[in-house]
Amino acid sequence: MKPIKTIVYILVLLLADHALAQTKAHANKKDLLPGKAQTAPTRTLKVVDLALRNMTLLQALEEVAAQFDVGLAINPNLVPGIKVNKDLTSVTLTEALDQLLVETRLEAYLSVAGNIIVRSKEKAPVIQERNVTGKVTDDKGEPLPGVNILIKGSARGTITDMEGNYRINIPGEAVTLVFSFVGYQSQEVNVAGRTSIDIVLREDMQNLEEVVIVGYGTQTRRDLAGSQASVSSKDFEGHPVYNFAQILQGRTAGVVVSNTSGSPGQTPKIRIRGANSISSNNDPLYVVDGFVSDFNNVNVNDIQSIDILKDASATAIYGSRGANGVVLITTKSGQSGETRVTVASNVGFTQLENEYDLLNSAEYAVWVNEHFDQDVFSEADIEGFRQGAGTDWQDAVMQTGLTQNHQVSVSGGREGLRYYVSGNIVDEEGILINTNQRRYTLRTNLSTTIGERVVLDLNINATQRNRRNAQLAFGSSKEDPVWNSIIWSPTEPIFNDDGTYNQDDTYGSLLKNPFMYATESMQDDRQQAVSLNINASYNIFENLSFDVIAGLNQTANETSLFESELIDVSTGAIRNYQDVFDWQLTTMLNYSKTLGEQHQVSILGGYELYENEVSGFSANARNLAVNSVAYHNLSLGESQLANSNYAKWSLMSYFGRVNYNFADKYYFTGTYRADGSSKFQDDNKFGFFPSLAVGWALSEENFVKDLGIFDNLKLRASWGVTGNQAIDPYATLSVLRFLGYSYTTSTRFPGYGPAIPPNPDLRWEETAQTNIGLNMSFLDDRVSLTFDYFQKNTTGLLAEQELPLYAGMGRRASVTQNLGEIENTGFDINLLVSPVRNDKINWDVNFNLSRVRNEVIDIGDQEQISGGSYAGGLLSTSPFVVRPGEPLGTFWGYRFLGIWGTEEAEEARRFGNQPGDAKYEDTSGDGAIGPEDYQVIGDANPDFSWGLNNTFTYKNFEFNLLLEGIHGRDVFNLTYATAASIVNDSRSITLREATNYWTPENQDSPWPNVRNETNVSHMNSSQWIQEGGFVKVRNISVTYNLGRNITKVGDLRLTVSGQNLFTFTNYEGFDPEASSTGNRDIDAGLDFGVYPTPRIFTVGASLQF
Amino acid sequence: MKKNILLFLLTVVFASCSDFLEEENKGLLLSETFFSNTQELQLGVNGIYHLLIDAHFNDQVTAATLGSNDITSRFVGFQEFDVFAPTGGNAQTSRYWAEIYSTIAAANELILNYEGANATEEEKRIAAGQAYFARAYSYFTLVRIWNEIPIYTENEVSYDIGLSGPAEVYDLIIEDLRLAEEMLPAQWTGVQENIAFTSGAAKSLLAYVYLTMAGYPLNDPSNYARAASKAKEVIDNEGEYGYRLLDNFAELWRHEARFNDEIVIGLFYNLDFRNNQRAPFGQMPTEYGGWDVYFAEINFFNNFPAGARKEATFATEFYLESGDTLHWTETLQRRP
Repeated sequence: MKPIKTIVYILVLLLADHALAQTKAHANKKDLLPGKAQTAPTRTLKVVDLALRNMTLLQALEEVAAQFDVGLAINPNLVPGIKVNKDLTSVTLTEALDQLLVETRLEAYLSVAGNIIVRSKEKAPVIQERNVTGKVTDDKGEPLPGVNILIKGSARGTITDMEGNYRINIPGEAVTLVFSFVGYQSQEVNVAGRTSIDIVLREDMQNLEEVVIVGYGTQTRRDLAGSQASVSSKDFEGHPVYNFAQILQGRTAGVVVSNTSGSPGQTPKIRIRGANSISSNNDPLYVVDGFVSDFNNVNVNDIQSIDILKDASATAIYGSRGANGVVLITTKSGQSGETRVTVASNVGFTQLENEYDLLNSAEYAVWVNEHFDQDVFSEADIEGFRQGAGTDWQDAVMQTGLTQNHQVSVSGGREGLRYYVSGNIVDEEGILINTNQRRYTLRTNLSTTIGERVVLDLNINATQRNRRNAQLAFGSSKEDPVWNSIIWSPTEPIFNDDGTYNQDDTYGSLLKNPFMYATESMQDDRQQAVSLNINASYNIFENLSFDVIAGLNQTANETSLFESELIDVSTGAIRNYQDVFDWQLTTMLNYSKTLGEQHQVSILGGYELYENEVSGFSANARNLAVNSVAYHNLSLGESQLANSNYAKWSLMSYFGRVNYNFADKYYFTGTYRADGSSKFQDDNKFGFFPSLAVGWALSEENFVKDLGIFDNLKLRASWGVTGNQAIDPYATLSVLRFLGYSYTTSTRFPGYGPAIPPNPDLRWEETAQTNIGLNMSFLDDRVSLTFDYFQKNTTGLLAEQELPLYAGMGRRASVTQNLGEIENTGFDINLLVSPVRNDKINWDVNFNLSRVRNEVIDIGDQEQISGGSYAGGLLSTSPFVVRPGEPLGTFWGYRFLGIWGTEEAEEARRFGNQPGDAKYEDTSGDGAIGPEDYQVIGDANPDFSWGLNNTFTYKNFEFNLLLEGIHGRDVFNLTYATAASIVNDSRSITLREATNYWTPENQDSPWPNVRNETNVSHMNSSQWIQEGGFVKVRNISVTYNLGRNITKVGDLRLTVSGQNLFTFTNYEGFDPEASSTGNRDIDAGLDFGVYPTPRIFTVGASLQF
Repeated sequence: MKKNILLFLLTVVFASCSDFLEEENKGLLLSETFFSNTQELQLGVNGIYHLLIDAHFNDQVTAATLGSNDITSRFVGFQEFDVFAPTGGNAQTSRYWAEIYSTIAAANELILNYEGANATEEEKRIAAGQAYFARAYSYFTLVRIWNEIPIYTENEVSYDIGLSGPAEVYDLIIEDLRLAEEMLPAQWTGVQENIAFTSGAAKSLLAYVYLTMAGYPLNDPSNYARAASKAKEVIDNEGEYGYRLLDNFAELWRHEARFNDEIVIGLFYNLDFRNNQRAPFGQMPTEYGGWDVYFAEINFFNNFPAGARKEATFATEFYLESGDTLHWTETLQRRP
């Protein structure tokens, strides 16, 4: 309230003289005789007797004014607090004032309007009253206009101009200025001996008046009854963040961002409050400036704020697309005022954090000799290896990668037009050789006012992303270089003596030389995206506005692949081009009104159309005559094949929201959305998604106020339904496939037969979510806590159900059906603490903790659903299973019981084993180990996860430390398993510790004796399930704001930082976070040659002028 | 004025096309809209032949005949039939089961949709006749191997079709074949000549079906007469149907004579194409590139009376790509 008072007071001062004059003029009229003008001199000549006893000077002056019937304009602060004891007889106004002020530094005169004006005699007393000037900016150097500056202990003050500059006259005795601005932490500054003071205000994280973006609108944080979290650009500025998802990592409760691969440009897996669906996509919905978009196309530096909608009250307005949570991204817009140019560059390098401890070439040679019981390698060979012969394959395929990020932005505005224009280049080299990403982004955000009632925003974004060898991100193929770098014999050279690639590993891997495979792989993915959206807002009446949001995205995805004979003997090339066009048209009416004093109502109604169209073609050629043209001339192939595809789907929606707030105490939000999708038929086309939320601001109640503890205390509860329609278009229809026949000729005549049966009853998958939450803050908002408990039940689960063979769709054919139920329960806690907050030091701590428990409740009439197949042949069955009572991401296989000991020889024999062999649990009790003995052997879901973000500023330094912890999850480390075992594709052991295997003398070894012919080491066993929990140092950065100290042209900031610097884990592979299962949820936490997340060091500089 | 603008905007926006939510399909062929003309009927028929080829690629259909004493197999799945002890998990027959039901599904699709096609009645009859024939043939092989089977004549997903006994299955087979013999032409010209299903083939198969119905499990001797009369229709009308026994039995296995008058139901494989479009080498020895799916039982071979018939029946020498000749005694299985 203080700032408002200040403004009012200043206004009063300015208007005082004028207002008093009018009042007087009016009052005097009563005394006037008609036709006779009474003028100022009459008052000057008036003579009165005054008894001014025992009063202050101010009171005395007021008494004088009253006696002479004139107004008094005076700044009370100017009047010294001296006592007056004077009897004045027969004095005029002038004499009275002179006698009263004789011993002061004040003088008085009568204004033309007839008021006494009292002012200081000394017009600009250099010592007593002086000017202080300066500039107020936010912590990234952006000027803050309209900041209130108040002389502490007085009502005098001023505000900053559009450039954040201020000038204030302060009296000599004043020592402290108070800078305050809505949404920012107030700051007090000692001005003694200073004439120029620049101030940096820090955003107040806990500000209740902060405007947050909600679905189809905005609200203040105070009014929220649902559960949502925000990340502001302030939170990640200065961190060299290349990818949007990195912003969310560790910063918000309930949002888990996993870097499933370290491949440059790989989209991480993002889950908000767990996975709801078996076969559908569990990715959140991303809405950029009101328009559903791909976040990969957004340049991180263009982001102003991110709002994450978590509970159904917040997400249900997105209806069928809201079940996985919604992420609202708002991009920056221009500010009125002078043009501002920002140039920023980050340069850094990436490197592998951990390596496997493998045998070196000499040790390996000795081991091979021992294993085969013959001198495969001579003593001379081994001596050669000791001298450095052989290959460290991990070193061979991994590199230190260079990363760069350069950005230029220009923003500003003049009457009726504001603009923000930016260009950005990201160039990332991966830690695996021959992998990289280059991304170019251009954005233009314009905002213009047409007349007084229409605001038109136009946002244009264009991106091109190029990725080299993205197919190596997850280790999906057995040829994958990451995996092969672990299993290739260290005794093998990379090149033969003649300089050609060494293509064969004599004792280890049966697959390709990993260095060769990585070097010669050539897959280039290119994505070009242009998005254009227009938001027109028409203010029809004071309380009613009409909005039209129209936008379109045009995305071209192209994959070009060339396989030389080193990759595939028959050589081949593929070009695949997919064109995606989607558009959205939203119209909304907004009405808001305050009824009476305390009833605030706002109502939103909207209608939306969305359409998504994909068309594409691909062509491939085999047996290319010439390698040098790679994929650029398919006609050089011996045979070509072409294909094309098309799909379109559309969504038509009606939605509405009512917000009601009584006396800022009781809040109610209700939303409703009806979505119609082309993907479903007839009665199933429309789905209906309601939500309700209530909030009770206890801190507004007197009984809580009386406690004097809480600055804010609010209880919230919500319930709602959201949907998931992430099924393919045409899924309800029966599709035919190509089946040719040649009759008696050599020509194949085309034919068609059924491939997918019709599935007309397919309907919406629905997620009902209940949320109970509590917000509280205390100690002058220095501590604030948000707690939310939720339960989500997804029913009508879209899942593949295997078809009976008599349906005639072939073996393992399935159709998508609505069956079963999945439940997610858990809580999110967010704690914000500001332990130190003053003009020199600021320390903010953000701690978040969340837990999600996922459970499959029902999957229809089937006992279980198998997960995906991996590692082609190394695993005979899927290591994943979906079973009622277990979460998604459950591991399925044999339970490893250790090694048969010498004393167990007899029992081992029952299983055809001998001491030293691996021992597995025979759950079926049939005396043999087979698939009937499979059981649940692990769970890839964490028990809980947390993030701890520390921001510490001291003068011009800023220090950030972000930690993230994920605990209680399992990872199936197949990379490790194959390095430690002898399997079809990997015929030797390369893992150092695994060579210390069981012998009668070494009974405690956990490693089976691979020389036992009876030993069978199963890959899908609990032996390879490892603890996948970790604590990662996600970010450490130090920023120094140099201002204009060095470069006069602009403000300079320097940053040194590191990402994913350290991992504290018991995991025994490269990286517990990476997973070959990518974005899937049935399958999670499998490490089979997956590309590990790199450690990144960066230096950056930004210049603003 | 403002209200008018608003109303105008609302009208423009809300009056968008009413078929906005209809699925617009361009790239996919859907059975709901396929079979719309003569050409598409033919494409459907081609697909049925393709599936028959798939189903017979691994010679699983011979499972039913393995119980006799002439042939045996190196595959456990077939050996089970040889000793009359097939199990539910039999890998060979479960594959055949899946693939022959695919043929049935393709035939069902055509049978359910052909009438709406923009084609002459004759074109529709010919297309449907081939589908009825393929379905009858498929159920006939199924019922002889499994006896009780699900009868599936729709195209909707159904998880709970129960088993039908042989009587019901044979009713369907006979119904289908009677339609086929009416609908199919007696002779084909062009690429289909000598290979596509004919009315004569339908009658011949019908005779075979009646013959089978006379014995186990229906044991209805009245079918002998029906079998005889159906067969006689074909035998007596060689001029119309074109079927006869070749003069030289050995001709049947000669490559040059592969399209001949003795073949009633033929499936043509093509080495030029990949995967299952290639000829099945199931009965050939491993050394020849085959899989030893079946070969002669040694006693059957030994006891077979010597002569031209024996020479034509058994392959005793295999001509390898290398130019060498391999005698059956030199093969891995040591069987002709």
